[in-house]
Amino acid sequence: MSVMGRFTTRSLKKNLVRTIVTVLGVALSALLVTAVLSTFVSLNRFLYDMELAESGSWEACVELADGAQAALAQEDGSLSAAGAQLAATLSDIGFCSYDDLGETGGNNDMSYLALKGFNGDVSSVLGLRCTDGRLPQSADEVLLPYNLSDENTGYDNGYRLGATVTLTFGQRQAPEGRADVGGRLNSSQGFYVVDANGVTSANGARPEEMVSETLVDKQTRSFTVVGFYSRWNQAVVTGVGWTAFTAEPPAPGAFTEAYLEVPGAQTSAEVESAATQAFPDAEAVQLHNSLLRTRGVTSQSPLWESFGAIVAIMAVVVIVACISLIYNAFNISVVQRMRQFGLLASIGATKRQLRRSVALEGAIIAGIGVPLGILAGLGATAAALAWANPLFMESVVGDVGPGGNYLDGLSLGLHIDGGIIAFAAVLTVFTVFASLLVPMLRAGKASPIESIRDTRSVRIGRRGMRKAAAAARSKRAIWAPRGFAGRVMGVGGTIASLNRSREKSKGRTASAALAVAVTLMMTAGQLDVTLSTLTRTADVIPYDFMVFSYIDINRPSGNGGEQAVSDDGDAPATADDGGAADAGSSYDEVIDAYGNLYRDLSQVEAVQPRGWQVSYDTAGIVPASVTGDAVGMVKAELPDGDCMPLLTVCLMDDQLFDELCSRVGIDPQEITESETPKAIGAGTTYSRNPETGTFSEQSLFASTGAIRVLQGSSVNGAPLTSFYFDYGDDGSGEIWGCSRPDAEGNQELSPLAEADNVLADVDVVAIAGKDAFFSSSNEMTIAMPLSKGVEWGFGRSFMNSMSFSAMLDCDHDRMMDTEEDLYAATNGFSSSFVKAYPGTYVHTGVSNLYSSQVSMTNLVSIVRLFSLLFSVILVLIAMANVFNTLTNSLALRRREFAVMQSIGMGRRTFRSMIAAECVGYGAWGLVFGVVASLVVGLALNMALGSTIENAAFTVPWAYLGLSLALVVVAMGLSVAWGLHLCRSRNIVEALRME
Amino acid sequence: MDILSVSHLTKVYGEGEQRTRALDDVSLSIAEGDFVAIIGASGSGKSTLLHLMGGVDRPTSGTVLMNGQDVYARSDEALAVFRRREVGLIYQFYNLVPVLNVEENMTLPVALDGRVVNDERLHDLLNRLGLAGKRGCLPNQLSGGQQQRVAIGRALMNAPAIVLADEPTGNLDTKNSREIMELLVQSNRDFGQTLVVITHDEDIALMADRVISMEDGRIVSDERIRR
Repeated sequence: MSVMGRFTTRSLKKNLVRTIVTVLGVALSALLVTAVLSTFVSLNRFLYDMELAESGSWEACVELADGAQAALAQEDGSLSAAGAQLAATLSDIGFCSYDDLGETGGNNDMSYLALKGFNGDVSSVLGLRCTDGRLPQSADEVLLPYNLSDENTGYDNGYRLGATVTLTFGQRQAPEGRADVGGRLNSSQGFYVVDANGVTSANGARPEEMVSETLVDKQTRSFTVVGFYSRWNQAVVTGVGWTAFTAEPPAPGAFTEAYLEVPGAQTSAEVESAATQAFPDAEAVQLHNSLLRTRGVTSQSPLWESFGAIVAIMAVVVIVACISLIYNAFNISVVQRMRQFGLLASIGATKRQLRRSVALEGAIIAGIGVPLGILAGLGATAAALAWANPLFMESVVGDVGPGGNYLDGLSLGLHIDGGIIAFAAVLTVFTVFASLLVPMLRAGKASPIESIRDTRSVRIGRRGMRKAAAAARSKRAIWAPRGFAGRVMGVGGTIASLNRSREKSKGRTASAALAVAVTLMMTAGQLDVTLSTLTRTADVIPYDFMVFSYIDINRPSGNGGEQAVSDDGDAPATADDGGAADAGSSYDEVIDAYGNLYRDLSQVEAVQPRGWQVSYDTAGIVPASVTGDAVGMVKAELPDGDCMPLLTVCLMDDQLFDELCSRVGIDPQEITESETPKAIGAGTTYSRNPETGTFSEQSLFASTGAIRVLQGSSVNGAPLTSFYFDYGDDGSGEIWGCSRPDAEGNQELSPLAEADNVLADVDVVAIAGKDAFFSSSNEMTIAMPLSKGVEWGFGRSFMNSMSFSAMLDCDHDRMMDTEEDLYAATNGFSSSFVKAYPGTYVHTGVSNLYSSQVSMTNLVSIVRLFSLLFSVILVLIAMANVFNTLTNSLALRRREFAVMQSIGMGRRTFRSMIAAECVGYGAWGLVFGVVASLVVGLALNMALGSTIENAAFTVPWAYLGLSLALVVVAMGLSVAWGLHLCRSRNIVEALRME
Repeated sequence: MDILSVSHLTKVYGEGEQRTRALDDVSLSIAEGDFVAIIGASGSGKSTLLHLMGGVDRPTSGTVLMNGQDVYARSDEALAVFRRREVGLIYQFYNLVPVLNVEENMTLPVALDGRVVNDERLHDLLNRLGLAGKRGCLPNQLSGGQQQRVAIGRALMNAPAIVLADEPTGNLDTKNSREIMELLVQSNRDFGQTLVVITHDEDIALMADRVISMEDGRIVSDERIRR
């Protein structure tokens, strides 16, 4: 080893504490970088594996009008020329009407069962896996959706393993004259609908509602049922429903989806380009973005972009923190040895040798710290992932329901990626050498003359000189107290003030270290506050299940169900009044049926009922003084200053309403014993302001008062049953109503202001706050007791838009059983209702809010765990930085302190001087730290704000306090250690030191 | 009358093989107003003796009496008070506080003592030391000679009973050395301050009333050459 090398290693050994702190700082940096990267890689790997299991390995899906194109592209080499591989195909064979599939229960709103042939390894390419049985191996075997199985429906249709079934299927034919869809419709297209405006749409319609689309060329084929699947993914869901699969290559002329893999593609554009190059006549190309994203090929998602922005911001914070820590350590080390460097220069050491000496010091420290940090980072990540795995599995994959076994063996564990470890090492070494740059240059500038002369005097800048001269010219007494510190702490404080004002560089490093510490801690806090807000949001819903339903009477207008307004303009006649009973259920029967459903749900084992309600959408006329200013609320301005908003009416069961009254603070009897309609208004909504982009609480009802609620509306005798807001060309806007389509599909459509309307006066006697049982989006909402609402006639004209919801709690240890029982109860309800009232259609659903909340809470817990680990490491870096900087800056001044003590500075004065200086450093550090952390916090908020609700920026006061406390602790420990170092040498030794 | 009395003073540094006896059973007395020069080779124990007399270090054994009171019977805080009130220390390398200007450095012991600075004495000292035009200068704006004058001013500002100077001219050229010694001697004569100077310079030693020679931590000669 060269002389300079020995000089460097001895210097490291001699200053062991500083060396250890610096090694720890480098190790912490490597740990943090490794932990962040390996967590990201492990999570990404997990998502990749899960995506593979869920949706398969395909990267692009090309829609071909003719199945022959797929084979042709393989034969003529255009696939290989494009760098793509044909991994699998799915081709249309036909579509089965549910009417031809036998009894399947009353709760199925799919249009058709598509029959498709597959070719290729669809299990791995498309994630098509069986719940029972196996995949078809020939064209006479079929795989069916589990919901069709006899086991699921309870009917004997022959849909069981090993049975032979005969499927009747045909081709979808668009209505005549609709050239825009080319006659025949394929499985990628939704059910063909023409709405009231003649606009094509394919969402949510049912075959019996629309007469436009038909099945033609019907034929039959027999298959042996070899398997069932129960999981949704790209492959099994078409535009019109679920799919039955057989093993059959694409037939010429059949609509075919060709699934491609493009090995080596680096961007989503390359994947898309390869697909279009291989199939230039493709009708459409769809990319498997969720898989490509985990491969780093694409990032086309706002959430992903937010995540990327947060990682980038945190990476910058981490790098800055690490550079600050390591720079301080090396800078102090070099400053301490400037005389040594000067003496070495005086005996012939070149600038290059001096710089290399410092670089060697950095290399030795990095050589120890980087491997140590990487190992610790991998260990910490593995431990954190092992802890998080059960929660993660529960929250991310726990909700897959039946058929979730395809995820067996999947777990969130440490994925060690050599490239990432190398990247972490290179990044940390880069950080070390970036931190070394200035100290290296400083070492090279060591002056032999100053070292030989041994002037020892600290150089004060011009500013300090000017201040010193000004002090001598000043008329005030020489040692008059200066600054706040001088007034409080006497001469010690005054000397500290002089130190700070005349030699700013002395405290600059310490202040910078403290500022970085405050920034790091508050940044960690900012993350935590955001995630805490998410947790609070997840906690809002105070019940476990919501069961919902709506009943579609499905009769043309004028034939019951909806009630036209009576000609004389009186309160609308009800469905009971005539012409309805023979065709379907009446309003009172529906209300009774819902009451019975709630009773049935309440009797499910382990269920504790919380209440139920029905609600429907209508419109109202509300005085301006009563209308709130919620930004998203749609309302038409009326000439007299009132406004006409869309309005939701909730009819709560009486007990639930009583509880609401109790929360609002009114006596229920004020409403239940009233002769005229009275209600409670929903006061606020929590929604996003489209102008500012922030979420906030906005008012719906500004005050109590009288409003008018639409009880019924008609045009040309046809009841208007649904309403929407048309913004109009000039932005003024008005509310329109439309009727249900008649047998010919015709609908009445009219501005509400021009319709025959019946309005009821309602006195809104109280305003509720944010209430989980009574929530609203951006619409004004009123609640009244069900018994009185029915008596006053609310909802009679809007049966088809009326929805039922029941709120239920249950014993959490039999959550899954309860959910199944609730499903059974709702299915029983829908089946019996459909049987009792033919022609009606019942939609039901069960939302397991508790599971969703648990999943959310788990996910938040995981993210908070990683945030906490990140914060702990940041705090350690911050504390190490403060400790290193303060102790060394005090140690550097041992001689200065010895001088003061030798001329009579007592211990008390000395302590007050140091305390005053530290408070000064701390104050500046705090100011800069808070400003910097607010900037970082705002940047984080901007990154989060576009995707996460409740991300409105708030100052994390608790973390500011915590940062202050930690900074004070770090300063206290550092100063105590620094003073200990100062005291360990007596005055004479300190005066003699170099 | 003796102002300072040193009795069987011993100072040992280090332990084991590193153990060094810097001062070995030294006893001496210094009369009020005396100018004493201590000479000896490097490592003879001169500076150690001076520091022990000034209350800067603590002896391994023995006593130092200042005006009949045991210096090292005091607490650290009381010892600090002793150093700022009763002793004026001057070092070879000046040891000024870098952020304080000339007058602040000179008056620092007064400020530490919580007393108001005597402006008349400060101006008198500044004039005597030739620093009247440098009051607002920081140490790094001054030459070595000027810095040593500031250190002398600081030592004299409190009118201490005894001034202890450790090679005060060791870092200065001949002209500055002569001027500095003239200042110290003048102060010794004008204010009757006891002056103890450690020096290698024979000419300076000959200016003293009494010359003490040291060797290996012991006094080998103690000779009164004047009065």
